[in-house]
Amino acid sequence: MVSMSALHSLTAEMHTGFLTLAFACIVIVGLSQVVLHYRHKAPKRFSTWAQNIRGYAEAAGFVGAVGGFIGLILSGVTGMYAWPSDALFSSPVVMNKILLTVFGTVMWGVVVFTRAHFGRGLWSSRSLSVFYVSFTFAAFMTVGLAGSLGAHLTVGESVLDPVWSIAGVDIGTTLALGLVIAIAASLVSLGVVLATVVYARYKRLDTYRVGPASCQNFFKCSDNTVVMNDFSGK
Amino acid sequence: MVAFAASPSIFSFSGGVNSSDVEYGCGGVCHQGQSAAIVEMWTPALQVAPGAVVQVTVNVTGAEASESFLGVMIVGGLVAADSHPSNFGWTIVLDPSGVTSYNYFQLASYSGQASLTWTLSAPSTEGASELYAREMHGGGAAYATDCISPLRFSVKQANADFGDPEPEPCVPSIDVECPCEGEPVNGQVMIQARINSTNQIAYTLMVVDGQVIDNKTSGPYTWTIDTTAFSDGQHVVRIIAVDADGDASVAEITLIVDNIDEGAAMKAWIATMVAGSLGIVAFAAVLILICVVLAARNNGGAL
Repeated sequence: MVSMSALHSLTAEMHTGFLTLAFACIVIVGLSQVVLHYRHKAPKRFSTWAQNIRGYAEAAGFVGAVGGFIGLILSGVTGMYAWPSDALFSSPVVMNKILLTVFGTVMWGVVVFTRAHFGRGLWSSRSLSVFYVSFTFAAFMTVGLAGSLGAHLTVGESVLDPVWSIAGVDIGTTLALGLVIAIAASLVSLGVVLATVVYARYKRLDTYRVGPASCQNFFKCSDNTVVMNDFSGK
Repeated sequence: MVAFAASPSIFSFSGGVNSSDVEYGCGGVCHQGQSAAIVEMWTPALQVAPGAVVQVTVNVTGAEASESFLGVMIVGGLVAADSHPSNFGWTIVLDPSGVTSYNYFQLASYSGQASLTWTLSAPSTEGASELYAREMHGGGAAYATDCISPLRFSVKQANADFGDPEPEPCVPSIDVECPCEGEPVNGQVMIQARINSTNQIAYTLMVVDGQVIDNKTSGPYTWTIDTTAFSDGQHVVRIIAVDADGDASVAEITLIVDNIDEGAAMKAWIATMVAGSLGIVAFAAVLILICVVLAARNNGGAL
């Protein structure tokens, strides 16, 4: 019989590996895009490398993000069973770790949603690609900070301790907000999400697609065509 | 054991003399005014073995020297000469500073309540011995007052026979009715005690962790304390009753302060989780919307 602790270790290593792969690949694709943007000012060899690398890295980044996202959810489930509930909720460090893990999972969910919704075509939009890379970076850092709290629980220290120190965060104190503030923040956030969705529907932005119809064509430098829906209302 | 300087000299206290060895009184016209302060003394047991270590706590409440310094002395008698406890066989091991061993301790800034504890070694010979306390105002205020109920010790071995057996003192009996021993408490908690005594109760003290919280000279003996002023965990509450003869009794209970409402903390934690998650989604949604609008405009989409 495999213990829940062993399963938690397995899923934790799985999501760590997948997310590291996703982070590295997405950053590589972003850097490749920069290189290709300046392809006329750089040796052709560089743009050839960038073009080849991003072809593999982009897909691997997406697969890694999906695998990592699933791994995070599995880690959460196995972690809840691996630790006695009394121990889980008696330590502020554990509660902070769970908070950060949930936030990290949501952020990786946003990364996966963005890539799944817009497809490879998101790289044809500078703003969307900047958002995609930035959010991946933030999500990776959040999960990394959650891992730092895990290191505190197991070995009592973490290499990211200077980050906590600079941020002035006492990890031994709960990061939870007051109940009223949290509820108010939730309502405001929910309102913003609904308003965004309503606006996108109203402007028919939810059906907007960036990039070419064919993935095969997209990463050819000569093909910068952006296929768009007709927003004229005809 | 700390050795004493012999023949402590007499000082005038009106301007303060710092912690030192002093005799009762001031030797002059100073401190002739009766202070409004209440000076009380307490010790765990009035029967002690010769040479035993004894702790004497002097509690001062009220007084005219608030926000100024305040002097408190313990003496073996209320005469100006040879009143130092050493003249009665007592040895002061530690004074309230925890470092020196003077009988007069001067508090730098008095805020209306002070609890000072001396550690002494009892006389080496058996017999009766008393300790008194006097509060002396510093800061130029010429007031003083004595403890109305001195501690009357009986120094003897546990099985010592002094000839005619002394009658057992009729000490007050204290029954702490609520809360119960070891009971978890939070917020405002009422401590209720029933005190019975054949003699009139001179005063009672309610002490938490060695600090006097309140004193009463008459019933009902109930106190309400705000547990949020204390850290979570165990705290020792003592009710001390002293009758008109100076006989004292102590009742002690341990309370467990638990002011963290786990249910509320858990709700706040879950609400924070939801708020943070929704906040992230809202932030991402707004950014994606902006990105799509920019992409559409850059590519000629009509919005």
